[in-house]
Amino acid sequence: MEGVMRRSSIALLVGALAIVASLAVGPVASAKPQRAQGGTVVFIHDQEPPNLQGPWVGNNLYATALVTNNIWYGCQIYNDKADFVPRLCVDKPKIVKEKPLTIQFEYKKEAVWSDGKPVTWKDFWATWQVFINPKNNVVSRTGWEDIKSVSRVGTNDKKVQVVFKTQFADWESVVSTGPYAEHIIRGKDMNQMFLNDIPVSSGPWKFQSWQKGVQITVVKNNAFKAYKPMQLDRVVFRYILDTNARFQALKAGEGQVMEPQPQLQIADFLKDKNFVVDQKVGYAWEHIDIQFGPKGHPALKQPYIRQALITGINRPQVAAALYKDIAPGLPALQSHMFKPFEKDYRPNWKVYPFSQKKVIEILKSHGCTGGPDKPTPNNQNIFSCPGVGKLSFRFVTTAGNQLRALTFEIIQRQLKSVGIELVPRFGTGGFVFGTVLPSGDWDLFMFTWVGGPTSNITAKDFYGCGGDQNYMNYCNRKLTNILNKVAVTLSADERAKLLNEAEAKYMVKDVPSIPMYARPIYVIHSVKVKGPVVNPTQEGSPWNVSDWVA
Amino acid sequence: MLTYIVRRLLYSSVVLVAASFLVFLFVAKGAGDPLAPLRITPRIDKAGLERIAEEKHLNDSIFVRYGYWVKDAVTNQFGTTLLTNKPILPDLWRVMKNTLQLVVVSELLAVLIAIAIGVYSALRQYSFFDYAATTFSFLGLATPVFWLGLMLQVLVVQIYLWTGHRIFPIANLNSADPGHGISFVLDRAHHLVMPVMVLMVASIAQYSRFMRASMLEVVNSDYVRTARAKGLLERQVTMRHAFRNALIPLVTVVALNFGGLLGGAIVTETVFSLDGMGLYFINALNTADPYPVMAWLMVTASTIIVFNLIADILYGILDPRVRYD
Amino acid sequence: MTERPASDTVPSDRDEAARANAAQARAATMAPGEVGAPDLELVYETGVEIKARSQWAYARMRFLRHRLAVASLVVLVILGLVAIFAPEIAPYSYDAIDLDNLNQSPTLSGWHLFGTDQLGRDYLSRVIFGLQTSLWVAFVVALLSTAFGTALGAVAGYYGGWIDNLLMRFTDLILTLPGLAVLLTAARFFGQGDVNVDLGPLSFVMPQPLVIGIILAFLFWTGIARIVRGLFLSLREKEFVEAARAAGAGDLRIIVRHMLPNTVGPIVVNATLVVASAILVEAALSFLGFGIQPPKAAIGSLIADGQQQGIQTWWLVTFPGLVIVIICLAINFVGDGLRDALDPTQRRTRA
Repeated sequence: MEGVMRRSSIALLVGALAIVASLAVGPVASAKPQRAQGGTVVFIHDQEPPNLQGPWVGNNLYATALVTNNIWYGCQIYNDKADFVPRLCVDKPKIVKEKPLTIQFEYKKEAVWSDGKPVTWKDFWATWQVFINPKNNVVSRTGWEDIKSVSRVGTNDKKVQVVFKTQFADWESVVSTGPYAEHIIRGKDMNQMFLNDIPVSSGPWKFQSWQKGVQITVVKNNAFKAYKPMQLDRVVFRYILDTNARFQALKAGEGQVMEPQPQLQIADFLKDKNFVVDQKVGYAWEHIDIQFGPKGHPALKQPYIRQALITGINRPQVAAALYKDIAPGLPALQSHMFKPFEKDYRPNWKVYPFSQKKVIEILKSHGCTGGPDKPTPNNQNIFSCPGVGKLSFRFVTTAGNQLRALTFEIIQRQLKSVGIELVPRFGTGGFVFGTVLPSGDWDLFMFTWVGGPTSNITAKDFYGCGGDQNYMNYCNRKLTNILNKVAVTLSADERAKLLNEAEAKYMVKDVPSIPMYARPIYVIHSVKVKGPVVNPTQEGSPWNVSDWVA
Repeated sequence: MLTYIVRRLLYSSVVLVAASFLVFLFVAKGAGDPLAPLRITPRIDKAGLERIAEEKHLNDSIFVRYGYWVKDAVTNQFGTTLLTNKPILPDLWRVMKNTLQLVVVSELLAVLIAIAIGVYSALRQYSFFDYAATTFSFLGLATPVFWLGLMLQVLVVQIYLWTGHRIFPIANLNSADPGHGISFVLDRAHHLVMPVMVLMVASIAQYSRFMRASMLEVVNSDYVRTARAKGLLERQVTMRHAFRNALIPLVTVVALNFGGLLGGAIVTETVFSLDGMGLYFINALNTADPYPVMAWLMVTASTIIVFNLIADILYGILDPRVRYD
Repeated sequence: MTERPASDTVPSDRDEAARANAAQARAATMAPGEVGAPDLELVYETGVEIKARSQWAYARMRFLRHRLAVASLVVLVILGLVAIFAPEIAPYSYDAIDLDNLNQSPTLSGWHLFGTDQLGRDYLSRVIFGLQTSLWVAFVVALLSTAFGTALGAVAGYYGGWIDNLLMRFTDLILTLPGLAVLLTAARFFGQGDVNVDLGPLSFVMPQPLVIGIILAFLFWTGIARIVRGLFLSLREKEFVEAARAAGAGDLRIIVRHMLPNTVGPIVVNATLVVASAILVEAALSFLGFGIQPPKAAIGSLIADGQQQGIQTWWLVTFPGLVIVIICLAINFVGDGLRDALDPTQRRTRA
């Protein structure tokens, strides 16, 4: 008996040692650098795509676009300056007739699918059909449903003619879309397609494998001749959810490229000579919407109070403080229509420089009482204004977003010292966006619009009377008329003129929404990898993957 | 015995049904609208969203929605995710396999180490080793798991920066090129070192205290004293009588813990981005999709129930005085 | 039913929730089980005997002999006082933003001993106020879970029969659920902001830390309920209870006046350990993004925010982490000492 016990305990011990040993041997066996044979780049990302469907309800994620943009390659893509450059197309698409709006473009002879079939007008036609089929759960049909017909020009299968039913101003985005392969999707239920893989590719890389929960691997598409082929053999997208682990993994060489959210950890990489950090201001802009509807605070219906609010927030300081180490000199955003790097950007909101003294002046001149006489850091006295009550506003934003929380704290403090109170009402994204925002039962709401180079074309949805995303219940007829006109104006210069005029003339006076700052975006890459640069559009940094060298 | 098991399982299924409804209510009601992020997407196809809400019964009452879920769970293996139409069960098996690897290794090591520590400190009560072990276990129980993981990650990265040697990976289940066969296994083991260490600390702290206490109890009990009085060698006494009896309570505790752990070590898996049950749950929760959350809950609660039962039965086998009534 | 020696609680996770359960398991072992239960000899850390009654002096003596516990108590009292008098003690206000002084490492200038955070707020003050929130939440949890668990356990143990059966099945229901996961689900959906309670005439705003506290209490009451039930099951057979009943005392009076005082020891020990566990679980919730929301600071959310900043600002993660370790360590030692003091039969097994 004793012998048995001892033997079994020895066996246990040996077993334990074996496991410990195997754990310890692991490092020796595999600790060699992962810089693989012939050019692999490991791209670390935070979110794993749920599937590869792309602009579908339940997907529509940047994480998916990063993988699929270079598979469904476009007639044109956005370069790092957010200008369209031809890729599968011979040249830029052209307007051949204005009424009805008729566009022609031509795919290159070299534009072929990875299985050898050519890319033709039929592919674009099939793509159009996918987007307008009511059975398909696509996220947006805008533009696609404005198309009247898609046909080839003469007998040239490569040359496509698209006729629109309306003067759809954003036609270029639509025709530049990377088409689906008609021969792959023919007769298929698109809601069930591309859940786990994509069998063909018209772009620089093609899908190879997906180890769920860990990584997606794409490899060079050898059939791709329409533009510079990829020099790398493959790109591996590795998914690491935890923010800190993601940065640490990059630092430890477990990956070479990453597009981090603006986080202070980037500062650490700015100083590190083993890494290159590229940054630009992006299209996502943080703003505070003001509620005009019946459920909002009555005070907010007074223009002078909205003007006091924007005057009392030190917007340049918020941007500067939050991004001091990672984007020094990030300016406050002075336009809802354009971003500071765009040529049509006009600082329309500059007419409201920060002045706490002026806030108190404005409020007092309208008969408000009970507030401080001069800006006071630890002020507890809140103004009450005639007929609209105490200036205490419900401030809604998403919980769990540290930058927003910090922004709120700064703003809250700034306004409190001039006698305006903000009461935080934080909630989960699902709750605040799904329930609170559409209900109009809030006073101030801070969130981000993620836009693109042409999203201002549909500014009417944000600021027009009854606009789809006008949750502020803001309505100015004259403004709405101009914005409606913008949506059907084909010339970009003409649109820019109208937008800037509308903003300067009406919106700045009405203050329906306070622009805060456009979020900077980043690419960090190891010095061992050359080529990645920030692309501010949905193309993401792999837009120029052909230039990447490892 | 058999009737006892059957009755326990019956109880448990009632409990499970009640629990599932409660959680469904929590997730479906409290999550708000799963379509919310889409509703604020510019140029969204609003009519399409309405159609999807209709198709997925998002506008129905919570009872109706629960009914649809039950139907789906029973006839269609928990069905698919709400918006991405992804079958849930395959994903769940995958993450469970990963969690199993993590949990089995860490629990096995923890139990062995804890037994060694517990027995030794009981036999050498009030020795330096005993005090050291006690200090360790108190520290282990007082340290937040995520903080420990964070500190270890930082340490490993610092070592890499100083020496250029990557001793352990700090995230994910395997490297980009895990290879096949034995090299895959080694690669996986290498990736599991840090999470296993972090997960082990608390287990060792808990189990070793447990083992020590129950060992002391047994060593000082009458029958061991009798055995000693009979003139048996001290080691014989320790091994034959004390050790075996002291193991009984530990076995049940480990069985209980193990059942719970199969639900994933949520915090550890998050810190190290391991594609396990815990991370799966967190992701499902964040997308406000009730279906994967529910499937996860059913699987996890079932394993807990089964392991509770196993713990009970084990206890009965190991301790013949126990009666099942 | 079998009575198991320990760990009736089912840890859902070896992580923080498991700690909670570990603490509860240790406390739960104090239940002697039903009279004649098979595990009497296994009541190793516990074996509550009723003779502890009216022996407070002995208890105090025994506690004072446990030097580590006494030292820990001193530490706890100091930290408690610091938390209570946070506004007086903290060198700065917890939200005193100083945008010229962002992310300072610990320095003597300006007495930023713990450095400053990403808004230039003094981190020592943040930690002190965070401590206040965390301790407050932990006490809410201990109080609520102990009150509810004791009441439920007492009723179940006193009446026995179908009432006992029903209440214990209910406890089983809670135990079958994976604890941390349920907490996360609840916190995700109810605990992300202040909650407006609207009950007609009685409507008020429940601050978010209180909401988190209530949700946490949900995980912790089962342990104490089982302990109290076990104690009551054995107590109700004792002569003094018989005597009280014979003297015509009502059920409530017997429970509150005669039986409850005899269970104070284990309840106090358990409640102490719950405080430590609650701090750890709250920190884990915050780490996963479901805990106390800004602008309120809690120790756990300070670490969670700090870790988003990376190792560059190491002080943001290190100091609050150390504070948690110190508090939980101290509480566990005090709990250990209390157990020795209030429970003389098992003194020899103490560390």
